[in-house]
Amino acid sequence: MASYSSYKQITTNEIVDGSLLDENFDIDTKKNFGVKWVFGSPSPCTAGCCCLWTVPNYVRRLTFEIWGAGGNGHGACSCRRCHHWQGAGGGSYNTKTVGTSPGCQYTVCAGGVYRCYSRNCTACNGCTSYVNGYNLSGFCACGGDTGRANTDWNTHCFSYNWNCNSAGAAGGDFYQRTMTPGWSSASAYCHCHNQEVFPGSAAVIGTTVGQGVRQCWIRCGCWSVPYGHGGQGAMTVFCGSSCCGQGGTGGSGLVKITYM
Amino acid sequence: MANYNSYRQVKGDQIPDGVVSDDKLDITARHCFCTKWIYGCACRCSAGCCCQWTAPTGVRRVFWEIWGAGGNGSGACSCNRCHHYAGAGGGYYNSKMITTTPGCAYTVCAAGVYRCLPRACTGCPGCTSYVNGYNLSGFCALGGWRGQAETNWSIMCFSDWSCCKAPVSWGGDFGMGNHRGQWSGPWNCHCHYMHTRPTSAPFIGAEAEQKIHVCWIRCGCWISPYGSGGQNAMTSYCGRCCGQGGTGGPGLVKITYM
Repeated sequence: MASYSSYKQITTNEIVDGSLLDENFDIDTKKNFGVKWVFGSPSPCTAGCCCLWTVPNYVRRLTFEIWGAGGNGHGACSCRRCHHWQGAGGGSYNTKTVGTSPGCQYTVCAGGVYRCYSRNCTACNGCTSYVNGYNLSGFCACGGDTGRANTDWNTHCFSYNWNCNSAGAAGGDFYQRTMTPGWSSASAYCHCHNQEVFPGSAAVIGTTVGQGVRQCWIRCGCWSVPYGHGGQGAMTVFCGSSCCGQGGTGGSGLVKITYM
Repeated sequence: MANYNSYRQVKGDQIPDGVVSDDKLDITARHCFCTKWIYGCACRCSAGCCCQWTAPTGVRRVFWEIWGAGGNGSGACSCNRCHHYAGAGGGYYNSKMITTTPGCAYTVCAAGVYRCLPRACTGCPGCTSYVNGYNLSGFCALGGWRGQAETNWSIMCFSDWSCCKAPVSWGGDFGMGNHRGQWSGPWNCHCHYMHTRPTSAPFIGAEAEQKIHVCWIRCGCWISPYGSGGQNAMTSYCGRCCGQGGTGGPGLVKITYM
């Protein structure tokens, strides 16, 4: 039954279209723009970070941007012959804008890395970053390719696409893959000495990591690397049987949520 | 005292939930979503740019993104022995989401670089970009590491961090850096075949490279992109070879507000 309060209420027809100005609103109304980052530790052997994220009040639009973790660097594996090296690849990028509702929950994972320093000729790929939830389906970004050590000098070659996804792949609006870095020693005079290689960056971030040896018994992949970047490999210029050095791990994956 | 006008005013409880749809709004109402960039000259020896920015009317949310300036390249300093070279580093990135109030004033500095072309064996680090104001505390992004020339060949090694930065340090929600460039010289003679890469700032990602085979002197000739490390001077000879390094790219500030 109508009361005095309900009688006093206006209906939508009583508000003239286009008549409400900025000044009519409380200052906080529709000012819910925000940015949330999800990331693992920047240290070696990062586990990445997974969490449940809940859409704040009044938020209706989300843009997810995600980067896979970088691949791990190769070891300077037991060798009877000199190696050359391929740097680890950077993580791919994916983005998706969706409509949402306040209170919706999303499982958000910024990928980590396989948590060991590899002594093998090939290490591990970086882990995939992903988000699951309302209006998303299969949305992810692959981790970077592993670094490699190889005694087969016939494989000395260019970088290449190891992850042939199209721009609209993996549940996103725009997917940018990365290439593997090229193999070392293109400019060198001998198989063993004078190696230089550049592990790859995550797409869109654009960092740089370099490594080279002229004459060195063993140099491990010593340093952690930027988010999404391929890890440093171990390198040696000698041919013995006990040159096992450790490769470093890739950089953690990353998730950026922009909401409004 | 109530009058006819106040009697006619509509109170919040007279508006049922959900009746105010988008088409009731003036087309400009609640549509302030803008971006402002602060940057110095894209030239060599850039001074960067500092200014005061005031939150415009109606603005409540601000997302700050800042990049430090790139480090300066080294000179090919006077030498009695061949050098090798480490590329200068790109500036750090930092970001922060805050609530603000219209009229709040912020001191915004997009960093410049030390304004000379160095002839010394080490350049200067890039300067720090920063923002001060309401709801910010110590918010900054360091400049990139300087380029270096060195005759001690035992330090030839991989690229590394110039600074150990946690992602939430320096007053931000998330920040990150880049390695400085690796040392040149993995090829078969001390003097010849030098190659290194100054590095970029994260999320800008410009790429630069420098190499010489046999060359008397090559200065760091070119202007660096925003946030990128400057070029070193390089030589493959051992005489009096003073060449000038280039300066890093200036810092950058991006303000996204609503």
